[in-house]
Amino acid sequence: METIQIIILIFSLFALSRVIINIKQRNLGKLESIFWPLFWLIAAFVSTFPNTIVSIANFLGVERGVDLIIYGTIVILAYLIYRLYAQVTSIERNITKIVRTISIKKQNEKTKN
Amino acid sequence: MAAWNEEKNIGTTIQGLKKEGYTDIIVVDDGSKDKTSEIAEKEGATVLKHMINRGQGAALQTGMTYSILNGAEYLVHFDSDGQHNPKEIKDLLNPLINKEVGATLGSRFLGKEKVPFRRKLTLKTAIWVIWVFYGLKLTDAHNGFRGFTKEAARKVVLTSDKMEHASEVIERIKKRNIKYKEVPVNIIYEEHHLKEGRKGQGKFDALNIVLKMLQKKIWE
Repeated sequence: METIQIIILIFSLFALSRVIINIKQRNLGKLESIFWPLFWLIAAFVSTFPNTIVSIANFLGVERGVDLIIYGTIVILAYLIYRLYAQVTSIERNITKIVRTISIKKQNEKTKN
Repeated sequence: MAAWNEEKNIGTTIQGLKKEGYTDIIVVDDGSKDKTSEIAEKEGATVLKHMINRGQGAALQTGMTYSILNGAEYLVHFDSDGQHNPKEIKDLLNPLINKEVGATLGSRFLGKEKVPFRRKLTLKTAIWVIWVFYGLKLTDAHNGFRGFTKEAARKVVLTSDKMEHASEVIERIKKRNIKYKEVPVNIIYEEHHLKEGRKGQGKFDALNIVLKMLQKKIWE
């Protein structure tokens, strides 16, 4: 086993443990509770048996296993960024709504008095 | 009026409006750190306070929501830093009162006014982008001087907090089929507007507008 494999394996297991804690505390949604454990399990598995990924890569028309991982990671990251963008936008809008409601409410109270 | 750290200009702007006989002046203090709201209140405006800065679009929408709730028939967006001429409000209001249109948009390029070259370039690009994106052929873009009937204002509802609201206004007008008209107005380009780094329209350039619009189109 190469050093990099060991590092990835240890990190994956660490990440997995954090995910499990979060699931127990009900911090993650249904889909995320399935996706993240699976993601880190696969990462741990692939780092231990890197050859498995090679056959999948070849089947998909990618020469090296590492390349497949990099391509896959980029796609996943891009999607996650999109998700974050959507969430941040919705949070921003909600903050504005709250700020607006408070300002109007305060003014209405003021004119009443 | 949306106002953010406008203590230097807000007083004279409100005085100018009062001089023309407008009394229902609503200032939305968008989380200013200076004396904007105190001065505005002293001048007799109704002041709504955003506890944190949310952007000009958000502030204008707060003003519109409040006005509609309090029985306004016609609404005018007016810059708080004295760029707009209060005498021209009637030009924006008349087509609304005569039931000609639901919205009036001020345009710098219908009159004979001189617009600084760099701003002209930015604005012309924005005009072109609006035409491509929304199919509205305007003579000016992102002019903050606008008028609405209450029915139109109800349909406009802005969700863009920051400067993109200017494009959103146009998008809404198109989407909700609001009849509109462009009205020639003059923007006063005083030295302090250019010097202050222009918190308003001047801050965003053509590229920024395009990016924000693209983002909105693709992701929402």
